[in-house]
Amino acid sequence: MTRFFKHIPLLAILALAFALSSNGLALAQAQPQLISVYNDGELPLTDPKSPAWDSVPVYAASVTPQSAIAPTLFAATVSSVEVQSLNNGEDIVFRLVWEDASQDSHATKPDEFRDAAALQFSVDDLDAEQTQKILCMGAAGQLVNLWHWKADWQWDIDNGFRDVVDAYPNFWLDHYPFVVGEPPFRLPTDFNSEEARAYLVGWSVGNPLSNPARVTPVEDLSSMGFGTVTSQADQGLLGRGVWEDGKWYVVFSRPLVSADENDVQFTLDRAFSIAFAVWDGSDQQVGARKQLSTWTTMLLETEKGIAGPTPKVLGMPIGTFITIAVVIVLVVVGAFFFMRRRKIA
Amino acid sequence: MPKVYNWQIGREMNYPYEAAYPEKQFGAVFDINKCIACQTCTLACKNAWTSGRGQEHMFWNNVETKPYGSYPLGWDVRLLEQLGGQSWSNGVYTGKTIFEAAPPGRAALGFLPEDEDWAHPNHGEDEVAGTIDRGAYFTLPHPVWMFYLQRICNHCSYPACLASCPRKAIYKREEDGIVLIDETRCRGYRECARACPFKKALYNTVTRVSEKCIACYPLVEQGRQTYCTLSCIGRIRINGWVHFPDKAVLDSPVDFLVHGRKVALPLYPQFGLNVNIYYIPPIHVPQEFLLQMFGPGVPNAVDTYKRVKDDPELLGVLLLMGATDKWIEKFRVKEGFAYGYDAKGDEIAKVPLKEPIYIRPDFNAATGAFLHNTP
Repeated sequence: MTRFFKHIPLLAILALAFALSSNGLALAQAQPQLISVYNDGELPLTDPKSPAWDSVPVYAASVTPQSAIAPTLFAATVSSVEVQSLNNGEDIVFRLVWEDASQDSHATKPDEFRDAAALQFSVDDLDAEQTQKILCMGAAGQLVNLWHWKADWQWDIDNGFRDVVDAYPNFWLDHYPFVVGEPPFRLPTDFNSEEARAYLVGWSVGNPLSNPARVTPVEDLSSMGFGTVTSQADQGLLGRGVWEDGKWYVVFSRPLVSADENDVQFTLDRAFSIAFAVWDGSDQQVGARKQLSTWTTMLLETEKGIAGPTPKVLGMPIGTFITIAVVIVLVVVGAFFFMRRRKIA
Repeated sequence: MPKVYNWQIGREMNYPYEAAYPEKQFGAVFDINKCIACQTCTLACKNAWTSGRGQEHMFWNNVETKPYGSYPLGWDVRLLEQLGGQSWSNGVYTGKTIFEAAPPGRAALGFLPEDEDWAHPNHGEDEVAGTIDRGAYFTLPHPVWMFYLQRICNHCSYPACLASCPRKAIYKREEDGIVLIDETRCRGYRECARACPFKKALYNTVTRVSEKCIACYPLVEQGRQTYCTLSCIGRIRINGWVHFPDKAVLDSPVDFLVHGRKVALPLYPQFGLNVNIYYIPPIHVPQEFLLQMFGPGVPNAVDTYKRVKDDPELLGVLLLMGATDKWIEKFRVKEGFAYGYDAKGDEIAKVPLKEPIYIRPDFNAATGAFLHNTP
C-alpha cells in the first residue's frame, strides 16, 4: 500500500494533463483576455486620470465600423481603444482611452452630435459560440447589458445643463407656458412644474435622454437585439470622462454585484464577454453609426489570483473529474493489491 | 427589399417594410390659389404644439414662398439635386424614388440640415421668380410669378422617417394613419430628420429627441379638423379621409378632389412616399415648375380648376373648405347649396354656391336719411 501512495502525485499530474488537453480550458486560454486587476483599497471610480491607472495592464481593443445593419458607418475615425479594469472585491471600474482630435460635448443644436463610448456585457454565462451570436446588441431571449457614457451628459454635470441660451448666446424669448423666473430662463429650475414640463414632452414622459437634471454621465441599458436598447429602470452606474490633448479618458464603475436581474453580475465563478464601442460626434456618429469591437473575454482577479470558470472535463468540473479519477485508480489499485495478498495467503 | 404599390408614381417601388395600411388615412387638401401667407395656420400650430423650450426653431406648419423660399433652407432643391434627373412616362415615374436611390447601408436618400438652415423661416418671402421688364403685363400663366406653399407633415403611406428609424420609434396609427414619434423610445439619432424629404421631423434642442407634426390627433379623435385647417382665414384647407384610387369614396371631400376631379395633387410624388396632403396647384405659375413639384397631373388639375364655375360639385367642395371646424365625412351638392355631413350623417355645414345679393335702398325711410357708401 505504501508503494501505491508514492504514485498518487504522478496520477494526479496525469489526470490534470488529460484535463488540460480537453477543449474547455484550451479554448478559454486561446482567447485574448482582459483582466480586471485586484487592487485592495480605494478605486478611481470616477477618476479617469488617477495615477492608479498607470500600473494597470492595457488591453488594446480594435474597433471597426458597424456594418451589420442600417444605418452603417462608412469609414472609421477611431481604430482602437485602450481598456483597463480594476476591482477591489466590492466595486469594479473600467477605463477606456481613445484618440479623438475634437471634443464633441454637445448635442444641443440640430446638427450637433456627442462623443460617446459603451461597454457591452453578456448577462448570461454563455459559451463562446452562443456569445458570438449576440454580439450585435443581444438577441431575443439573450440579454446584453450596456453601459453608455455620453459626452453631453458629462458636460451637463460638469458645467450645468447646456440650455438654448448657452448654444445661442444672443437668444431671447419673453415667455414660455407656465415658466417661472425671468428671461432668458434656465432649465430645469424655471420649468420644473408639471404644467411647464408638459411642453417638454420627452422630459414629461420620462425619457432619460430628455431629463435636464443629470445624475450620472453613464446610462445603464438593456438590449435584446437591434433597435431594442432600453434604459433600465434602475440606474446604478458611475463614471466620468475627461478630454485632454486629443484623447478621451473615460471611466465606468459599479458594485461587482447588483440587485438588478438585468445587470451583468460580476461573480467569481465565470468569465465575462465584454465588447466596446465608440462614437465620434464630429463625424455625426450616433446610434448604429459607430465603431465597435468583437467580444473579449474578461476575467476577475481576486486576492487569491485569477477567478473564473471551472474548466470542464467530460461535462463535469475538473475538480470533480480528478477526484473521481483518483478514486477509480485507488479502487482498481487497491483491488489489485487485495487480490494479490489473498492469492499469496 | 419588399415591393409596395405607390399609386402616385403609377408603379411598384422598393420600401424597407411590407405594405401595411391603416383602417383610415388622415389627409388634407390645400388650395394654393387661395393662400395669402398670413401665417395664421403657422401661429395656430405654434401656439398649440411648439411653444415649449427647445422648440423655438420648430414650425410643424410653415408657409414659404416659392420658388425661392424654403424652411429649412433648401430642403427641396438639395434633395432634388441629390436625386438627379426625374422622368415620367405616361403617368409612370421612371426615375428613382428616395428609397431606390438610397446609398448602401441607408434606408433612404437624404441629408441632415445644418444648424443655420433653421435660422431663416421667412427666407425668400414674397420674392418673385424673376425681374419685371418695362412694359410687362399679366398673362396666364404669369411671366413673373411666385406662390405660397403651405407645409405640414404629409403623414405618408410610405414614410421615410419611419423607414429610417433604427429603433422603430416611429409608427403609423392603425386608426387614422397619423405618423407619430414615440417620445418615450426616441433617442435623438435624427435618422428621421435626415430621411424625411420634407424635413418635418425636427430635433428638440433641450429634450434632445425628435418631434414632429401630430396632425392634431386629439382633435381628429373628436371628429374635428386640425388647428392649421380650422384657423385658416383664407379657407384654403380641408381635412378628410383619403384612400388609394381603387377604394376612393367619391362623396368624401378629399377623395373627391384627389380622385374624383383630380384637381388636388401630391407634393413631389417622385420622392416615393405616397404623401397624404394634396395641393391644388396655382394656375398662374408656369407648368414646367409645377410639373416638377406636383407630377404629371398638373395640366388636368389646372384646367379643371379653371372651369370650376361650370362644375357645381367641385365648387361646392371648395366652398365647404373652412365652413366648419368639424370633420366632414361626406358632402352633397343640391339646389344651389353644398352640405357637409359628419360620420353619423348629421348635417354640420351648409354653404350657398352663390352668395345671395342684397340690394339696400339708398334712402332709409325709418330715419329719413340717405345712405352712402362714401363718407
